[in-house]
Amino acid sequence: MPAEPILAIVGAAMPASQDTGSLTPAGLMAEAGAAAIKDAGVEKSEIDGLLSASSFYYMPTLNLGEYLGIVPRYSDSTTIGGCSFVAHLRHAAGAIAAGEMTTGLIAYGSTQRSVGSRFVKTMSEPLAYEIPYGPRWPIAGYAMQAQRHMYEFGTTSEQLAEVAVAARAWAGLNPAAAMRDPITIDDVLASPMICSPLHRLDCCLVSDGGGALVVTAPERARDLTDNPIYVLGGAESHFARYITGHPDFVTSPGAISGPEALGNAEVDISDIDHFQIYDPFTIAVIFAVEDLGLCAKGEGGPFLEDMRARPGGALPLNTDGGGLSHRHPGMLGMNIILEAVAQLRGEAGSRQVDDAGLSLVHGLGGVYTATATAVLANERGLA
Amino acid sequence: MTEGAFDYPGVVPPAVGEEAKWFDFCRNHQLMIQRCAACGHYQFPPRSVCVECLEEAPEWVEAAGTGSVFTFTIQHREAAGFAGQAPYTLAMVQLDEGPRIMSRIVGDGDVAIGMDVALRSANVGADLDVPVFLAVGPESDAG
Repeated sequence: MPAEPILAIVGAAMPASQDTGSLTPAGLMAEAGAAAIKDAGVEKSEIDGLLSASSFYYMPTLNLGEYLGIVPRYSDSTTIGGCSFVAHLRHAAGAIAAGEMTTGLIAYGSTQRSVGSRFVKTMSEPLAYEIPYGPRWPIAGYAMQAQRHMYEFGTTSEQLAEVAVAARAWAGLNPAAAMRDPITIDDVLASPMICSPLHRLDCCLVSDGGGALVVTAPERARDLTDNPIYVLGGAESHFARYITGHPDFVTSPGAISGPEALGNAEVDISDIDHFQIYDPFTIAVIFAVEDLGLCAKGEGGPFLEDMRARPGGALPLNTDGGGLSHRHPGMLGMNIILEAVAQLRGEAGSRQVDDAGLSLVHGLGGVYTATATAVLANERGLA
Repeated sequence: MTEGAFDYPGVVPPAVGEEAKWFDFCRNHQLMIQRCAACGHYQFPPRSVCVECLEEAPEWVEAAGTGSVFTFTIQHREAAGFAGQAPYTLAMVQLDEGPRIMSRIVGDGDVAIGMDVALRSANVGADLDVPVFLAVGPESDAG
């Protein structure tokens, strides 16, 4: 039996205008927030906690509160990179358990695509000792992890490519995905090399987007919705801010947060029905399946090579098409939760995983130097 | 090797404190790392304290300049400020003293993990010279 839920997600939404280029990051964040509040069927006045992270705003919960006219008594802008929103789930659970809030709004907005090519509007500060060498971030950090993984374990470019091919196959089932035409392993290998060994099709998209979640105590959830999504456990960790500080280039902090989240949820990895793993680059998924314990360290390439992560395979993974083929608005942590919620609510359309009861969301941040993991369940998954 | 053979127009970072001190050593063609007087731990990047035992004021020591390629990537797209330079080889060099440092591998020839490297210097503009490495040996077992 899984652990008692620590949190319930009772509202979830993406910003309706995310592909129009018509809103600021705060505008997208607020649009998703308002939609999530309506989805939850709560009054705005019931929201007494705000959680956010951003590459655009120094104090994002202040932007969120001002934009939506919400004055919180709990505020959390924990920023550990793209996985921040996964970490926020556990933080929200703690705040609710401590009586510090009753109903929280976790929200994110980004115009990474709109602004990205024209100017880099980000607060991210590079490391002085790395700047003179011209690393292209974040890909150079992931490329060097991929290279080391290949060296130590014999991982191949074809095995990396399989991650992209599987993501694209899932995206073909998602009408909202940006890239839906099927690709082959050869297509990935034939795409231009960006930072060896990573080709263009090993890399995620750059999108505008965001999302929001309304969260509350599990005991309250059934009063609000017939289909609450529960958080059973979560965990987070980080190694370093910069790639220079990475301890071994083949293990992520997911080796800490993954097992700890599963332990907190009292769920065995073999019981998980659906996986949503942050995929900025194909190598990240190979690291994740190893660090989560789906296979031994070093065996992630062969493990995924048998196409088990493609639609119809034994390992439903990144069913929206992931950052590689659905969208990647700077930080993907919100989107991986939203897809898990869609699957557990049974709202995933032709990509729906049959009888999904338990979903694992696994986010990363920095240059895979931070991770946050959470186990989500619907009513079926609690049994 | 000709003086200046490995120079490239780079980006000189704004540096203060321990960063500025390290770049000052670079200008003097010294690759400096730190050693803790209390526990003997070597570290890079420089810190105000020992990352192992938190002893204050680690000593600056000059690295021998020898080591091997721990991992690398050939960048086919430049970073901003490095226009026209791609492809270039970025690497994490494992220094023989223990710490790892990001650098470039310069010179001709293929690069592989485990290759022995030797310290060279490259001017990146604004009177800043930075340590770069030349692949000098066969692939070693050091990894």
